[in-house]
Amino acid sequence: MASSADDDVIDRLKRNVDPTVVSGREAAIQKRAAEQYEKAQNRLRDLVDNNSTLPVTIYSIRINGPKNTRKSFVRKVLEEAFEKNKEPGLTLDDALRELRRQCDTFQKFGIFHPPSLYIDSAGEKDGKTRLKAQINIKELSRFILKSGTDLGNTEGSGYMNVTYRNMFGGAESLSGYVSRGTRTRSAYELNFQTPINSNPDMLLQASGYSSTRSHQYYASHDEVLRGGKLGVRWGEHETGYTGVWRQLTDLAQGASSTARADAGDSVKSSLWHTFTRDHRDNHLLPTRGWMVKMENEVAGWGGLGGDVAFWKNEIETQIATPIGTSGISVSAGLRGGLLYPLSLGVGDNKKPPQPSRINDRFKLGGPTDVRGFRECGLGPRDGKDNVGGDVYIAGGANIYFPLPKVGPEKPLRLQAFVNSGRLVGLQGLTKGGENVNSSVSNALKELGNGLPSVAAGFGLVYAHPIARFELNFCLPLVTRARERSRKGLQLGIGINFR
Amino acid sequence: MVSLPIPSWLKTLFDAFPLLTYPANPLPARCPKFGTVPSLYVFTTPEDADSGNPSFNPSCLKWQAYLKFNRIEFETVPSNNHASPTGALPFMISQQRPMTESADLAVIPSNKLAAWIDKNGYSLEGEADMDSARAKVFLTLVNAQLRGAWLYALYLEPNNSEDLARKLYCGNSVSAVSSFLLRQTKAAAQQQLLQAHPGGFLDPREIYADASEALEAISTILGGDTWFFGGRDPGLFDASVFAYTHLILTLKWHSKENALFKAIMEYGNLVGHERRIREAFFPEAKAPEA
Repeated sequence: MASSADDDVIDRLKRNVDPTVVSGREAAIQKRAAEQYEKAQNRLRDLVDNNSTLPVTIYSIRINGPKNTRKSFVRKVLEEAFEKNKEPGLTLDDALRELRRQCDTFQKFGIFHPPSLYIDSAGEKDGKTRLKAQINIKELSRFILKSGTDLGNTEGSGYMNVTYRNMFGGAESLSGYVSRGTRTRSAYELNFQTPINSNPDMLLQASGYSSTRSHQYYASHDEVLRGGKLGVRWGEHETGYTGVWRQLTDLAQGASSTARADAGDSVKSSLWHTFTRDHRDNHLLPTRGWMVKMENEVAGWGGLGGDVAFWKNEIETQIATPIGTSGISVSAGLRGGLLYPLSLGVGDNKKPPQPSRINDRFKLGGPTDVRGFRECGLGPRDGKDNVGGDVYIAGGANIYFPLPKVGPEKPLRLQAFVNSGRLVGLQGLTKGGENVNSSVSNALKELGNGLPSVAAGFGLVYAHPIARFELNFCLPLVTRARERSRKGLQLGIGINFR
Repeated sequence: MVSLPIPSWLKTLFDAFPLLTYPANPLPARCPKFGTVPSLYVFTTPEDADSGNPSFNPSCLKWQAYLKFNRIEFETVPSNNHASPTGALPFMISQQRPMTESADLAVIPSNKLAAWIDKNGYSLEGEADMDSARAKVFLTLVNAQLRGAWLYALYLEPNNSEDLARKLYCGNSVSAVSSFLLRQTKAAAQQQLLQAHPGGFLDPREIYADASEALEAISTILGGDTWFFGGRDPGLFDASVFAYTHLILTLKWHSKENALFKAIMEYGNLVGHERRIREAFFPEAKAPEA
């Protein structure tokens, strides 16, 4: 989650970048693909219409065009089609569907232009028509240099990205990324990505990064990260390992003693997993569907090493539905997180569970998060610094009205919302860490102590393809003393709105 | 930014919100809880901080000792340079209760500690005048020659840097990180030394010889006195000398890289000076191995 997991800046940056880049490119690609398919389909329509149940066998698939792509890689992709071929009762309809799926697969690797498919008959054998297929593919250019500006959650940045595509002829890619921004002062990343077993839906990623991010606006410090990540993504799952050296530095003059106590170096060595199921029609302005996201991270436990040990768990849900055909829709979301201290290391070097550091704790609040509060303005506060918490729960509901004369087709809405959150720190953890469980259960109980902090308001929402913009008038209804609420107008720009 | 006048009805409305305010959230467990005494942030281990033992850094130990000479009660907090407002330890937080929004935390960097002690400490009646030209000359000897040799011995002697500097200053669970930090620290030490020894070349014999000369001068000025400059109580100069002599005498130097240790051992009155301060103010501290 963007606002709370501040430790993985690059990951965040990437997530912030990807949808914008992908959506533009994908739209163009899909348009072209659609045109290509239409042509091919026209040619085949008669044949298929009259012979859809014709028993066939795929006799050959000829791939035209790849220059830099390995033959073994292409063959691996095609194997599935021939696997299908062995099934008895393959009809022309089945075969065509399978071949089209092949074309889709090729395209998914992101190294080809949309492929085109041609089919011819190669005579008959054993009462089956033999099909000769030809797939024409054209490779995209191997080097891409891109630069531009990005909008993240209340952050602006300029970036440069170099990608070496299809590096070893198996759709591997190596990319370098450099950016300078308002919050992420600087970021460098080198990322290698390759499909596993020629499957475009299963990716192995390895990256190394270095970044400096400012947390001055809510907690008087900068954080320098240097680390590496190894992960596998398949479908809705992503899992991997992260090792990162964090340095809390450049404290402001008025920094709290909490920030001073956590200044300096620490290493996080962690295994993580995320699961996302997103059935929303639009992630920036959903009007229908639902989404569930679950993130788990285990750091420092057992043989993982590093300086911090915890289990960090976050769950986020959102549901949206239209009301009738009026164009009015409602959405509601609920999320929560827990940072559970674990013992660090094994054997003689085993250390009891330690209380969390400022850079591991959750932050809550802000125009893209819990509206009506300043960024990271909820939860415990020491002096001028919001120091975050170990347990949180947050939820909200929005109702969207289309603007008169503009209509529901435009991504412009009036909204009214009420949202709330509660962020609590673990208390009284003893040196030996014997009371972790009671400390955590007390914190969980504290979540339900009284009403959560609540704010409500109304405003205008515009879901631009790149980012969502909101201008709201909000008022806090319930707060904790020293929480930083925001009365009046609040502007929100971001990718991940909750 | 242009500030617009807020209509009074809007102000009344705004003031009514929030409708309900609960007490503030308590701070998470790791946040420092303030005791009744000021905190001195120094390079030290958590164990030594608990027992009030000397810091392993001369600049920190100097102030730690001087605060003790002044009978100011304080606690030491293990820290590092990133935490300091000046980029270097020590510094002190004198706040004795959790701060509020309005009040800035009273952070006193080391260069303002003397003034703070003057204001808050017992005035040391018998303390020698540190503003005298004589005291300044000898302070320069400590801060230049003795410090230079200390930097060389700790960071640039290969075995010492690996066994002492790495452990004390660059401790990290991941050896790649501590190696990186050690390299940075060594480069910083080398740069500082090169400023004092222009020519791009550091000769250990020269550095140690300079330190020996400085020690001889300091030993001569102490003579048979209990404290420097004939003071009745130890003063800031005593603290400055003790900060080096105590650490040089008690660190586990590599046997072939202990020139500084040997140099101090030649001056019985300096060894005695170290012992007097240690026994009076740091009774639990490690004693030198003769």
